[in-house]
Amino acid sequence: MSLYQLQKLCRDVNRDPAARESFLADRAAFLDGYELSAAERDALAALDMHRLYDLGVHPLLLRPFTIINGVSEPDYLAAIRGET
Amino acid sequence: MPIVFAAAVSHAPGVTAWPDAAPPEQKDAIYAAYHKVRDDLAAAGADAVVMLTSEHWTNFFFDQMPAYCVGRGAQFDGPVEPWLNIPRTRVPGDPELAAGILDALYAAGINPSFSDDLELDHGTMVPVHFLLSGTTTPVVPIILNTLAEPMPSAESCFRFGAALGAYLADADRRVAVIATGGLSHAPGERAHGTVDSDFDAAFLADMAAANHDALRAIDHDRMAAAGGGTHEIRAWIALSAATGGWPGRLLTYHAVKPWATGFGLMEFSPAV
Repeated sequence: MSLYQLQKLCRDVNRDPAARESFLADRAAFLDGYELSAAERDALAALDMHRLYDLGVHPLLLRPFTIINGVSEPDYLAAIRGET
Repeated sequence: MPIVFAAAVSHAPGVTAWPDAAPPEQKDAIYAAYHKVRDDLAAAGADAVVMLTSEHWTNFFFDQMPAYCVGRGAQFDGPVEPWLNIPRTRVPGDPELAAGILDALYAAGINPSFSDDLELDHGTMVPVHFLLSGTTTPVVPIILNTLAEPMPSAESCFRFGAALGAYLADADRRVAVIATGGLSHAPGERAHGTVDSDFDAAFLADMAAANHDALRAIDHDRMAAAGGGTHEIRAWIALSAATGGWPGRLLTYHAVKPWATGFGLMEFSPAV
């Protein structure tokens, strides 16, 4: 597990318009640019927000990342709370 | 000379991004309080504002995380958030004041980071927007780490504020000090939307009374239990130390559910 790389990916997408564009254009290729564990890669590919939260992604990195992925606040909260 | 003005203000981004989601009586009270702080700050005639603040992964990340970072730049651009409803602004800095602050802190054995190139997010831009729009007053932002453990303790932040205040008391400048952040909030967490009103009430009472023994002893875990955003109150603690113990007057406090934050504004002066 490489929480640093996982959080770095979220932060790069959140903070860098070019990274965000790359990510949205080809997510699988973008993920290849980070040294992620299988669990982290799977959670990202599926946008499993509950899993990402429990893997330890800081909430202020995770929530903006999910906004970029088009997730509403109610859906985000329901997901991390395990209500979905 | 002594600090000419001191206040502490919350900066929950909903206040400008979705203001009307809040109940009107809450929103109106908060806006009125922010406008009063703006007017009182203007009347104080400060020639610079030191802002004790926090940020949200804008400049700093786990690759490099300063406990304190003094913004020594000639200018700062912000906000980074396009959804904040605050226009992109170039905020003038005060490199000379920042350098003087840094020299004094280093002489006191406190060795903060510094940066000549910071972007500002809602943490600093919300108060700058409300308090300094239309002015040319320079700002020295001092960003405290309130994101990633280990964070500077309440005691450490208190000593930081005391050293800052000691320098400003002797400096030949009319300086206002604003603390921003807090109060209890848990953004993006499972507890998102929950406000710890008891914690906030006790903290505000200690700030109003300048109860330094209590403020400098606030436990990290107690702040975390009130929500991860609560760590931002370190800026308020540093402010109380910087004033040398000025009592505070609470202008307003509301647990604003749609902004998911215990939102408060307080002014400080030697005689309340």
